[in-house]
Amino acid sequence: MKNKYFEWINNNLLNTWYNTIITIFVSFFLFKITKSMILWFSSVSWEVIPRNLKLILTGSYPVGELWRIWVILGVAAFLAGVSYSLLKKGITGTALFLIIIPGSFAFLNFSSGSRIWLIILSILQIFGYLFARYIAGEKSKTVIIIGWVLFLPFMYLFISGFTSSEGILPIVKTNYWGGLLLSMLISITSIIFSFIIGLMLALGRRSELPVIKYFSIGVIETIRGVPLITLLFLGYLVLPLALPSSVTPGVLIRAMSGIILFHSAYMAESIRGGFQGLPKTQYEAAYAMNFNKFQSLVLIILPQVIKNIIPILVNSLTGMVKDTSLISIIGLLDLVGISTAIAANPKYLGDSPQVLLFLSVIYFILCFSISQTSRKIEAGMNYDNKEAAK
Amino acid sequence: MKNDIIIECRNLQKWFGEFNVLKGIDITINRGEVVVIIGPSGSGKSTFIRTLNHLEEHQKGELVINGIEMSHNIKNINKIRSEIGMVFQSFNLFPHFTVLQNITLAPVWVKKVSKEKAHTRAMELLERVGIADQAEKYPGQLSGGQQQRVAIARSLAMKPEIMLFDEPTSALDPEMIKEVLDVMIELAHSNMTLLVVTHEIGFAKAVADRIVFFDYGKIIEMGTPDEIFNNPKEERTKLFLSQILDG
Repeated sequence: MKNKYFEWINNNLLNTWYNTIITIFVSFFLFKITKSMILWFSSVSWEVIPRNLKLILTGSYPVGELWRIWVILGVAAFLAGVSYSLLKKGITGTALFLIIIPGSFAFLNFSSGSRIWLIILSILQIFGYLFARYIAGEKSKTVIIIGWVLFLPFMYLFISGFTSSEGILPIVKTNYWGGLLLSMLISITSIIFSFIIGLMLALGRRSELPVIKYFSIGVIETIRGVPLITLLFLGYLVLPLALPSSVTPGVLIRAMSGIILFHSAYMAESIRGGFQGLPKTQYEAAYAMNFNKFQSLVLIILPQVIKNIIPILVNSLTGMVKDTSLISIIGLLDLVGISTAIAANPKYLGDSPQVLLFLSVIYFILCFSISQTSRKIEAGMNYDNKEAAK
Repeated sequence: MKNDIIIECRNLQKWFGEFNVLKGIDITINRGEVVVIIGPSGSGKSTFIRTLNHLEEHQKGELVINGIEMSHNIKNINKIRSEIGMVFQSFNLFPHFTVLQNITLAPVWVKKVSKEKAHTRAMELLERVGIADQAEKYPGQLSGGQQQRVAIARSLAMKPEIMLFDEPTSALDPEMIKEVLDVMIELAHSNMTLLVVTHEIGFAKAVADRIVFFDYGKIIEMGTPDEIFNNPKEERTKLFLSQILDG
């Protein structure tokens, strides 16, 4: 009576007397921990999550204007759908997962309005894919590039609004932005800008002009030597003192600049590492073919550098997403800030573990998606063993 | 057209820090000439041909290519580079582009040729080097010999007047050397000016108009293949030849 599971246990867990003892101890503790976890899970009230879901997701963004966020998600869903057309094998696992997820959320206990929007998100992704496949065809790539480039300004414009309170898009001040919405906004903005500034600093550090070179080194070393939290406080407390109040930007922008500056310095060093990892012969080949410096950089050097530093980039990006939580310290109500506020509510006394656990799940999903996407991109760029697309 | 000068070097000198790599090179090369440069490693022969398209900068002496003086003026450098193609020991193809894109990239971006024209020309060149069927593959999927032939096609796509070969077969497995040499022999017969740094004595004997022997950063001896291989005058040439021919 030897089945293979029994055999595996016998060979790996019970093969020697000391392994047997370790196995018994570990099983005992695992049992204890799991049991108490399950007991805790079933004993506490989870009411706090659905009751505050709106706060956790969007902070105190006016309920009447929430449709704007759905529209933005809709545009993102459509662009995502168009982007799936770049996948060579059609819609694969990850894309299918992304399509199904919002629609399946509609079966949860949401308000009927949210349910309709969630289903629309799924449909828009499919629609985007079909649009790229059958209508846009070759032009999909242009749609994708222009779409995603315009997405960030569009998102800001739509969320903040620009008309008076009677208009169609009344202004919503940044102190009403909060929760996941704020965290995402800051993450996306920081990622984009710190990559651009980091790239410029990295190029600056490699420059032959001493002024640019030493300026870049100075910036990188100074910022790297300062903790992020100090930069945030500098922006929060010192900037308003240093600048006249008429030109002082809002708290959000000050906080974001701190995060962007800080991560630019790290990004610059990651990118510089990528430059140094590239064989000198690639530059020589480019110059011998008479490409000018800009063409060599954009066409030949950068694509290879980025491919080589994807693992490091993912490290920085996930770090950046999580670092945004520090802005709660200067009073902004991002995911962490809002959950602290919820925990402080006497109605939910003692419920903060549940909120924190929920938060961890959200952060995990965000960071895990980044690392999964990057693996897809990395595999797609692996031109050494790739069959070329016809 | 024979005997009109395309490359003229007078007292060309170069240092790497304290180290004097080129100690005064004097040579004139005519249009359509095939010059093979031989010499022990570290003798400065690779550095010499790399100064010709300004991958290395010379510090003293004069260098005139096709009537243009090589100076530190970027315009002149670009003009000269547009007339010189270069093939490297390690191929140096762009790994993130397909074979076809590797060849069309420079014509399209540097010479502003239309994509269609560049494409047609690239396919002709691939046909010429015998690997048209590999056009859609990435360099990493090709053998060394095939990659080097792509590199040759890539240089030819810019329609250069001069081709420089920097030990083009040194990184290849023995069975692939011939396919690359065949392409080079065909080029040598097509009236193009060729400067080849190589250890392939057979190739040198077959197609070279002139052999140049380099050592210690100087030209020790030059002459026709017959003069150099059968009646070398200098002791150092004799020693070097005896070493490579026996080994």
